Amino acid sequence: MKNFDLTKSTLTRRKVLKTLGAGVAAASILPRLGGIAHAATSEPIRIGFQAHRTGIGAAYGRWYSRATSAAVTRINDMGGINGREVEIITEDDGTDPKRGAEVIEKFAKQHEVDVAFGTLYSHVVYGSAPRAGELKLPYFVVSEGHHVASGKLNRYTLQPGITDVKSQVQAMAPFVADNLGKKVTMIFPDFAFGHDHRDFFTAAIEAQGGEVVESIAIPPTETSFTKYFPRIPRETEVIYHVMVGPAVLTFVKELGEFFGPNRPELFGFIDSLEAVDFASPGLEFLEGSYFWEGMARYAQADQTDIDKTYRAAVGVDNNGASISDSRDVATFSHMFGCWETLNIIKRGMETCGYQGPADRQSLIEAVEAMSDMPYSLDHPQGAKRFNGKTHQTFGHQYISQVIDGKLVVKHKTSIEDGLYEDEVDYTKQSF
Amino acid sequence: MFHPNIKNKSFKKSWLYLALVALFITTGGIITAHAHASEQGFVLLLPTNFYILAGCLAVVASILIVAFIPLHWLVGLFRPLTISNFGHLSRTQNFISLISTILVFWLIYVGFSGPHNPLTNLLPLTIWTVWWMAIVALHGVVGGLWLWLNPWSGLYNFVFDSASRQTLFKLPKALSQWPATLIFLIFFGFLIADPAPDDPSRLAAIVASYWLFTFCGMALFGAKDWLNQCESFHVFFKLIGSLASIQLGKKIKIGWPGWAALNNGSTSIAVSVFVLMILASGSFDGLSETFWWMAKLGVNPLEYPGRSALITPTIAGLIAANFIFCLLFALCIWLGVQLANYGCKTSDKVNFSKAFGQLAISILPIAFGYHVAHYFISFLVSSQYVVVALSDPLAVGANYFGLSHYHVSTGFLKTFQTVKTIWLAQAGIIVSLHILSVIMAHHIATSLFKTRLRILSSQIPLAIFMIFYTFFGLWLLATPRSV
Repeated sequence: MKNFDLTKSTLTRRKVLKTLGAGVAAASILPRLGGIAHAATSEPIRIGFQAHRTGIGAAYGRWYSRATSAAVTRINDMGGINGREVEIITEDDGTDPKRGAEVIEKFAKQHEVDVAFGTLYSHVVYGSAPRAGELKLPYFVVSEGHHVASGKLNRYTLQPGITDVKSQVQAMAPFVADNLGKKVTMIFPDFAFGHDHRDFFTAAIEAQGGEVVESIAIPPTETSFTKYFPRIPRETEVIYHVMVGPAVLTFVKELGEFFGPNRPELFGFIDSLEAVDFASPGLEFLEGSYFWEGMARYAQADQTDIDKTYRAAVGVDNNGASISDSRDVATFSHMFGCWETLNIIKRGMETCGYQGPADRQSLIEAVEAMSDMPYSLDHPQGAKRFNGKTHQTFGHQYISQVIDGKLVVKHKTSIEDGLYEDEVDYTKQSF
Repeated sequence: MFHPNIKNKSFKKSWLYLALVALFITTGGIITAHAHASEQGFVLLLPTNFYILAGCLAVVASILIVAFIPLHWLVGLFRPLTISNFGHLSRTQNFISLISTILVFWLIYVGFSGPHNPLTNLLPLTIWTVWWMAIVALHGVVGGLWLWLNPWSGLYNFVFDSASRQTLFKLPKALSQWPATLIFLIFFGFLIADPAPDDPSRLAAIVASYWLFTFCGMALFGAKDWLNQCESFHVFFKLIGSLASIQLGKKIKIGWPGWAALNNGSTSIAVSVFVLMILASGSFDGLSETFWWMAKLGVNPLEYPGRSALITPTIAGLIAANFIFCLLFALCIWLGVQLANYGCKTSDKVNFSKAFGQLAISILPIAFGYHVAHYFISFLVSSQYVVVALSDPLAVGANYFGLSHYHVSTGFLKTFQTVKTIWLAQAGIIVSLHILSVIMAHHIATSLFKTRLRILSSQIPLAIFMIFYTFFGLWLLATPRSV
C-alpha cells in the first residue's frame, strides 16, 4: 500500500473514472483530467519524498510536506505528468545522513520511484547523494547548500528549485554597501553554516569596496552573548548576523540591551527567525533592521495574483502563518523550493517524454538543458535561471525591513547579482 | 487546488479532534517529540533559574512539613476507601484483551503495508503516542488497566485452560523479575538509540516479534509466571498503575496517590532496580538531548548528525546512567540506614537490602512525573497526527472524521505565553510528584524504623537526593536541547 495521503483528491477522481468506465467520456466531464485519462499507462509517476519528518529538521519537514502536497495536488488537477497521476511516496530520513542513504536505496529498490526529491539539510544531502549516484536515481534536493554547485556531488544530483547560500550572500553585498554601510562586523555560529556566510560575504563586500572589520564566531552551544559584544569595533556601520538555534531570541534581546537605541544598522538572514513570529518578546529591537528573505513572508502592498494563489494552495495567510492557526508561522523562505522543484520535474519529464526509469538519464539531460524560467505560478518565488553545468539554479533575493513588526520588501536583487563563476561542469561526467 | 466543501466538513467535525485531545489532556496524557527551536527560544527567555529555585524550595518545605506531622496522619493518608465491588470480571477482561490482540495484529499489518511516513502510519503513532505516552500517563490516574489492555492474556485464556494447566517448563523463582528488568533496559535502548524506532515496517517486525516471544513464553512457562517475571510491560504498568488514586481490581478503591504502591507488600530487589531504571533511563533520555551532553560528545547540537552517528555513546550513556543512578540511590539508603541504626540494639537494626527494596518504591512518582513532563509537548503535537491518521487509517483516501485536510499545528509553541504555561505545567508535574515521593518515602521509613529520630535520620540522605533530583529534572526542562 502506498502513501496516498498527499494525493487523496486525485485518487477520488480515479475512482470516478473507473465508475464511469470510459476515460474519454470522463475527460469530457472532468476536463482537467483529460491528460490522465489518455495516458499510455495508468501507472503513476512515483516521486520519492525524502522528508525530515523527525529529528532536528522536523519543523522544516512539516512545511516541506505541506508545500509538496499542495504542488502535487495542483499538478494532478492539471492532468498529471505526461497524462499520468503523480504519487508521492514519503519516507522519513530522521534528518540523519545514514538513514538518508538508506531511504534513497529504498526509493530505488523497494518503491521503484522515478525520482527522489525534497531533502533540506546539507549533511543529509551529503550522505544521500553518493548513493543516488550509484543507483542512478535522479535526486532533486531543496537544500540551499552550495554543495551541488561546488562540484562535490554528482551528475544525478540537482538543485533547480532553490538558490544556494553562496549566491544569496553574494547578492546581498551591493545593497548592504550602498545603503547600510561599508564597515561590517559579522556575528555567526562557529561551524560550517556560519563559516560559509563569513567566507562568501567577506569576499562579496570587498568586491563592493567594503570590508569586514571584525568576525565574531560564537560557539554553537553558547546561550549568553553579552561577553562577545565588546568585540564589536566602534567603527562598525553594519552588524551582519546569522545566529541559529534556540538561543536566537536571547541573542537579539541581549544585543538590544547592549546597544540600546543607538545601534549600528543590522542585517540578518531570515534563517535565524524562520517560522518565528516577529511579535515575539525581545524582537522589538529588530524594528527597522533588515533581513534577507528567500520569499516575502508577509503579503506585500503590491501582492500579485500568483502570490495569492500560491499562499492559498499551501495554506498560508498574508502574515506567513497557517490559515488554520495564525500562530503557526511557516518556513516561508524555503518551502517554495519544493513547489518549484516539482514543477521543474514535471517540465523535464514532459520535455523528454519520460515513460519510466529507463528515461532517467534523458530527464537529467532535459533539466540540464533548462535555463530561464519566468515568474509564474510554477515559480511563485520569482524567475529563475538554471545552470545545467553546475546543476544549480539562480534567482532573485528579497531584502526586507522590519516595519511595525512586519517584514516589508525594500529591494529585490537581480538574478545577475547572485551569479558566480562555474566551479564544476557536471555535464562532462558520464552517466 | 483546495476543496472548500471538504474543508467545511473538516471544520464541522473538528469538535471530535478537540474532544479527543481534551480527553487525553484531562486524563493526564502528555508527550513531546517535535520541539521546535522557537519553543526552546522562549524557554531560554523565561526566568527558569527562579522557577527552579522555587521548585526546589517547595520540595524542601514538603520535607520539613512531613518530618513534623503526626505519624498516624501519614499512615491514615494512604488508607484507601472501597467504592464498590467490581465483581468477577475475568470474562470482560479477556474479551477486551482479545480485542487488543486483534488491534495489535491489525496495527502490525498497517505497519508492514501502510504508509511509510511515521506520522501518517497508525502503528508508530499508536505505539509511541497512544501507548507509550497516553496510556502510561493514564495509568497514573487509573491503575490496573494493563490487565485489561494487554494483547496476550485474553487469547491465552481462550486457547489454554489456565486454571488447571500444567506447563512444560517452570521459571526458576531465583530469576525473580530480572528478565523483565533486562528487557526494559533493552526496550529503552531501542527507544532512544535506534536510528529509526518509528519506521513503520521496522517497528512492525519488532512488535510482532515481541508479541510472539511473550506468547510463546506464556505457553511454555505459564501465563502467571511469565507475565510477572519476564514481561517487562506487565511489571512496568503494574508499578506505574500502583500510583493511581483509583485502583480497578475485584473492588474499586480510591485513595491518596501512591496508596496501592505502599500496600503491594514486599518488593524484590529486581523490582526495586526496575523502579530506579525507569527514572534513570527517562532522565538519560532527557539528558542525551541537551547541549550539555552534545558538548561532552564533541557534537555540534546545531548540526546534529542524526541518531545513526550516536548509537554507541547513547547506549553506553544509558547503561552508565542506570549504573550510576542505582549506585547513588543505594549509597543514600546505606547512609540513611547507618544513621538510623546508630546506637541501636542489633535486634532493632534494619538491614540495607530491606530498606533498599522498600524505599525504591518511593522513586516511582518521580519516574512517572518525569515521563509525563518529558513527553508533554511531543504528545500535544503527535496526538494531532494520531487523530488525522484515524480519519484514514489504511491510507486509502478515506476521511471518516473529516480531518484528512486538517493541518497539524505547532502554533502553541510559538507564543511566549503558551510556552510559559506549558513549561510551568511540566515543572508543576515534576515538583508535585517529587513531593509525593517525599511523603511516600517518609511513610515507608515509618514502617521500617521504630522511633521518630531514627525515621528522620534515615531520611536525611534520601531527602538531599530528592532535592538534587528536583533541581536536575527542572534543569533538564530549562536547558537547550538539540532534538
